[in-house]
Amino acid sequence: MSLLEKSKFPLLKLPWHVLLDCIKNLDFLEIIDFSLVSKRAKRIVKRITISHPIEIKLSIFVDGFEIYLESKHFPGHTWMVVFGNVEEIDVIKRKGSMLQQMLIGPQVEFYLIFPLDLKYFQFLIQHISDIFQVPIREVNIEKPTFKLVELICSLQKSIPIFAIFGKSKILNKTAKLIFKRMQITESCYLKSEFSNFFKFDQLINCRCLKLSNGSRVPLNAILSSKNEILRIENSRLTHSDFNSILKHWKCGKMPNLNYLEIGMSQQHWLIDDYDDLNEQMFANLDFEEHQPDPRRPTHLWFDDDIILEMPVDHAYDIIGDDGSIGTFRLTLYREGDDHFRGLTFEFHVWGGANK
Amino acid sequence: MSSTEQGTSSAAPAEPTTAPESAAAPEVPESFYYVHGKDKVVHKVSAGALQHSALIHGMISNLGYTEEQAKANPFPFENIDGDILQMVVDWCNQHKGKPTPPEDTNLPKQKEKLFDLVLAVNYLEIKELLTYCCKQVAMMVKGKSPEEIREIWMIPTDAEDEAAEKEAKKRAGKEAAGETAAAAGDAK
Repeated sequence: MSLLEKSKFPLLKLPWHVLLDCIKNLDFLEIIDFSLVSKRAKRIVKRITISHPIEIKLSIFVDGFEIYLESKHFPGHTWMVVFGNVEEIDVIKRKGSMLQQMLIGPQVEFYLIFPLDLKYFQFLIQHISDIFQVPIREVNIEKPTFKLVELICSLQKSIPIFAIFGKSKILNKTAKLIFKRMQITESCYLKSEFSNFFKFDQLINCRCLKLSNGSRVPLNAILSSKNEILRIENSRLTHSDFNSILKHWKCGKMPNLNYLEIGMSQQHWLIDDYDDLNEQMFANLDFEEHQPDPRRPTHLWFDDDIILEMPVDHAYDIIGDDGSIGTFRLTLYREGDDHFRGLTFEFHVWGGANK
Repeated sequence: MSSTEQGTSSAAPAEPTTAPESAAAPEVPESFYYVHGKDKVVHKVSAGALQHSALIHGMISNLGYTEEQAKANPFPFENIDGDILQMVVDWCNQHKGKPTPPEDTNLPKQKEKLFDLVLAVNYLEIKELLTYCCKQVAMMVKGKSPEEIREIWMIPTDAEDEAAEKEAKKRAGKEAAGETAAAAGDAK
């Protein structure tokens, strides 16, 4: 290598706009690396105007953490900062972090890899959010502990999308933190079970909520919910509870409701007579068979990725006191001739002033 | 083909079968300008090639120099090294009247040369070449760790920055004190 090649490039002596243009040519992970060089480097990065907005998402697994950076401007590209067990990952080529690139079909993933370190993970989330000047969009967590949920709450005032994708049971203290302190604005999906000590007296006040283990969610919590889309699986509500929900909605309560879905499995409800079920559910309600209407939305967005199809066939309409229409359907799943497998109650509100 | 040859061919009698080509208006002979850098070596560059430089293009557009006047008045760029200006002139000649490709691999790999080239290109306002140069600068740190980036791009540590800032404040304070003393002396 010649002396000239060995020589350095005094980047900071470039005219300001040229310096920023050079940094703009780095990819997201390189920009992160550059911003970690010094406080001055971080200040420079903060002055870059990125024309294509990025999104920051976090996934917290039991044995590792991931920060994802995505931009609609680069479909199929994901930049990931991964914290994991370095022995499993590969030989560390660089001190502290390592860059890798992987082509998976039409997807390209770029990695910046760090050893597992919760404190540094927390620092880097805040650092990345700060340099790109965008809040965290989504947090997915496998097994939330009190410490992890506290960490998430400390990152920013509210999280648009939050999900617990592990099935393990959540302790009462942690559940309270999620339900009472965490501010989720758009969608929340909780797959986990909750401690028997935890009381679902109030549901999370976000636009869309899905609970996979809703066996202990009482009717009152549903009636007082402010969600636009509410989906509860493994519920223990009764058919007369569905009747109460419809009546409650009809008289103008649950004004935010756009779609309600309640699922039950055989372990929570044994049905002997379907006719009896219908009778109790429709008691004292004026309803008529649903007729397709071009004004009615056919799909709703649960979150950035999930689209829900609205019920059409075998559905009924009731008219709310405010003039909006509620289309509902009860679907029974059977195995063989009689063996009851499950039930889904769907209720779509449309045609009102805001829907 | 020289400008004289072009002029001759366009003056040939028109053939009906080749009307579109031969009927074209005679091309104006290309004008040339002259530039020199710190080393005073004069480079002859066509106006077409110089169009890449917004600075020079702006300077020549209203001059209306004759060939002799242009030769007698080369544009002096005393702040640009001769070899760097040569690179710039070569690039402008190579890309004269052509669409610029997305990548340019002919830029110097040596960091010192690239630094001088970036400054020159920025000064001469050659937008496309500046874009290539910035990409080349970014390429220097591809796959490098923050510590390696610091070394390659000569970025001071926080401690060095703080020390430099203190030093600058101290110097500014001394200068201000000196000025005050001088003003007091003048008043007496």
